[in-house]
Amino acid sequence: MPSLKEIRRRIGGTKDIQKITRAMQTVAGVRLRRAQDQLFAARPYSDKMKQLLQHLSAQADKNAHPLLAEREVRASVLVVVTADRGFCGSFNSNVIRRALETHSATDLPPSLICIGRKGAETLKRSKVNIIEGYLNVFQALEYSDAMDIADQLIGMYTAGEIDRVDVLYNEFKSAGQQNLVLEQLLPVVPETPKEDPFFTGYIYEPSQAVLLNDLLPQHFRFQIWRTLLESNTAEEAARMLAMDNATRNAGDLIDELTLSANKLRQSTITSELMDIVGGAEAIK
Amino acid sequence: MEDRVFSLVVVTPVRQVFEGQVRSLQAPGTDGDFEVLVGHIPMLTSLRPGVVTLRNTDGRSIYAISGGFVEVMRHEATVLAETIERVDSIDVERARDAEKRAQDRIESAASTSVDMSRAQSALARAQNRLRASQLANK
Repeated sequence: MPSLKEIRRRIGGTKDIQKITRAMQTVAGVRLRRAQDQLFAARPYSDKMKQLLQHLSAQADKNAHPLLAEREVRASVLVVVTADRGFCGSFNSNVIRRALETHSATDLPPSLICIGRKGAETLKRSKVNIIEGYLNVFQALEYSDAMDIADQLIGMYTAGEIDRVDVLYNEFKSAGQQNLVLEQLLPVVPETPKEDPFFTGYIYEPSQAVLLNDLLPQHFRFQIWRTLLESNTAEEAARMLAMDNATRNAGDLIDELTLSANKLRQSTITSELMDIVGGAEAIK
Repeated sequence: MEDRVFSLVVVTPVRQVFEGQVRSLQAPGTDGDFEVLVGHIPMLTSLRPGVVTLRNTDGRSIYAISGGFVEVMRHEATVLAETIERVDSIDVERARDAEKRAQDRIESAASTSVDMSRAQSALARAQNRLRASQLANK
């Protein structure tokens, strides 16, 4: 049985922890709003780029560009997107577990590119080949980060070092829900051509081939950017939820401890009273 | 003249820059500058770094663009830019600084490194911003 002093000390400690988790929840809330704004700001470009590719793939040949062409897969890369920081529930561990499953599921295990400190550090300890780790990009997310990552992948792909690129990340569904997504990035999956009654075909300037050559890398960079934005937003949402739970659990713990402290105090008083009464009886 | 307008959207990966009705769009195509007016034939073209001018009924606005694409459809046009900024918002001092920094880096960097190509594109961007702001102030 812990002493009354011991229990009071624990109550104090738990209250301090609760203060911290509540503060972290508030911060995550603010960052979530910012991340969400950034994500929504990318939507118009996303829609337009998609529309453009739909129009283009309605007219283009599947083998019109190396980034479109399917080839025999001899080496592949899996891009694993986690957070830089922890305290966000199962956000990171879900990605890492799935990454290891995907890795051991095939005879040709992919090499890994890790975005986010948590994934890079954990996966380093398992038997996987990590080509590159991009750490701390989520501190201040910029489009140039996405460009660097994308250009490295395009370089490896066009040089023939790799034949396929997939990405594994948390997609932001709502403040309460993240979805783990595994997506193929390269070769670029062409948008299904959509029947557009107003669309009658373009003139291309310069040629279609030259345009594809410019457009596909741009599209790919944007895909990476969108992935980063999704993951960043999902991360803050997960953190907010985790910290909300932690704050509530701390509250429950404080209630429990207060109850047992009161019980202990009560029983001490009772036993002291009994002593006094017993003493008075003896004197009579 | 009132109805000689078409709708135009200007977007970058980071945000939407412009949405509205314009009378004309002038842009630096890879094969040369061009202008889009209402009723232009559907077209897809890529852009080089340069100056984009929008004209509508109450005047013109000038932007510096680092490259991208223009899609022209029957009744609408879209500019997909890498980066684009309004000339009035360009800080000439900062652009000069950026130009100088890029030049210094080019001198000190090894000619094949990634730094080099980055410095070169930074230089091109800075010079383009300066050119655009000069043009606007004419």
